[in-house]
Amino acid sequence: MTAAHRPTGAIIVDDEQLARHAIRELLASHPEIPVLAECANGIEAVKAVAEHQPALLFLDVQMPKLSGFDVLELIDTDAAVIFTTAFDQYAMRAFEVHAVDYLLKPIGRDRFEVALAHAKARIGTKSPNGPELAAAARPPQQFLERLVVKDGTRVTIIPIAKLDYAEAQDDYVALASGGKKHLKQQTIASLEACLDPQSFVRIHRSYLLNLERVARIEPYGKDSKIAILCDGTRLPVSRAGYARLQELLEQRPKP
Amino acid sequence: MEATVLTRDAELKALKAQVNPHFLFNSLNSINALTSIDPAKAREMCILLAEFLRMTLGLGEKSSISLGEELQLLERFLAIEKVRFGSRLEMRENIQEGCRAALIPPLLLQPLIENAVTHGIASLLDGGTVSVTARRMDSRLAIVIENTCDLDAAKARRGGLGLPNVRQRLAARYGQESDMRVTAENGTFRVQLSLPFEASALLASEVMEQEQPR
Repeated sequence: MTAAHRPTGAIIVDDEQLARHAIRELLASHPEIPVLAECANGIEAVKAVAEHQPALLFLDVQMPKLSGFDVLELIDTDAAVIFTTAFDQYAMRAFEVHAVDYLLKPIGRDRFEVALAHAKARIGTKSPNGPELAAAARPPQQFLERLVVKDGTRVTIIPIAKLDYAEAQDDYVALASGGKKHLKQQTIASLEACLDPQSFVRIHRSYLLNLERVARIEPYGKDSKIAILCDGTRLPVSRAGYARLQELLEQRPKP
Repeated sequence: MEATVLTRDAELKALKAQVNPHFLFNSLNSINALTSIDPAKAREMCILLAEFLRMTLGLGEKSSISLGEELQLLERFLAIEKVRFGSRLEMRENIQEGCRAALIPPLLLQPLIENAVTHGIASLLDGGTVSVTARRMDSRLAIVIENTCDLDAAKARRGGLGLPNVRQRLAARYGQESDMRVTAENGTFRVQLSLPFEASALLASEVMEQEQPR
């Protein structure tokens, strides 16, 4: 039997050393699940998951820079994911809606064993959808503050204010920020739903534009318009897109 | 009279916001882990947590407490968080002589320190420092609370309840006599408070005068 294609170990991700220790201790009575790595933040976690391809991932929700949901968006894994959280009403609701397993800290032995049994049955099945889970866990009336993207093994965090526009490319969106483009596996519609509609407008089926970046709108051809951004980028504007754009620009106070 | 209602309202909100469930659960989680690796430390943390809770209950009922009392509460809060964050959390206290006796509304600084930890330190991979400075400037008491911060994360702090509540309490209590400034620059989040310097003994006599006629 070769162990290589049947992953067995676990990775524990939590920014608190004591919290990681508590999970390690609970796992100690399961020698069939060795701890492959402990990660103190999401960036380490993204790397460690790529490197070790664990069977099981314990993922804290609240961590600096990258939350547990961000990590889930960035990893490509068949690992069974168990989220851990101290208390977060929105995260818990998201877990319940998406039938994702989670453990409340401090974690009791009995509840841990139940989660572990479920997880073992789930190993090898597809992990939950990161962006959807993150969207469900956001408190109502709050929009996304930043986007996370992975280029190879590099993780880039784009604050929303620095997003110039997004362009649909099949199953991906290209996020344009400061002259660079980052590809993210997400549809433009689901991205649009997470952003403040006062700041971002769908000017075209394929383009979502940060209003702050518009320098001017010019006619283009017979029926359509083109948006010229502050950096000179030209983006097509559909008729419906122009109507939305005009409505928003009129609402804004003139400088 | 409206001002009194406002004050009361703000005070109640402050008390309600006081013991953040996150803080409690996280502390319990730390104690849970410590029981096996360092039982003495687990016990120490239980005591700290109990003292902190007892103080928040007791102090909240008073209309004023000394800065010294508030600092004792903050020291416990930070000591508890220090167990969680380890080397990621550093603390500094710089209190000018005589300032500990100054009177302030109870739990005025606690939400600011809690903000500094949960929004400042917790969002930094390598953590940072939380500092409290107090000095007397003639008839005024100046208190500054600072923390290392990630400016991108600091922007996301809009909409929190902690800062507006402190502002509201100060305004309700001191009106134009108080001032609160919030800045975030060069990786430091800073809240500067300025309020009338009231010495403990002075207030005690005022309270007696008010209560005697009844």
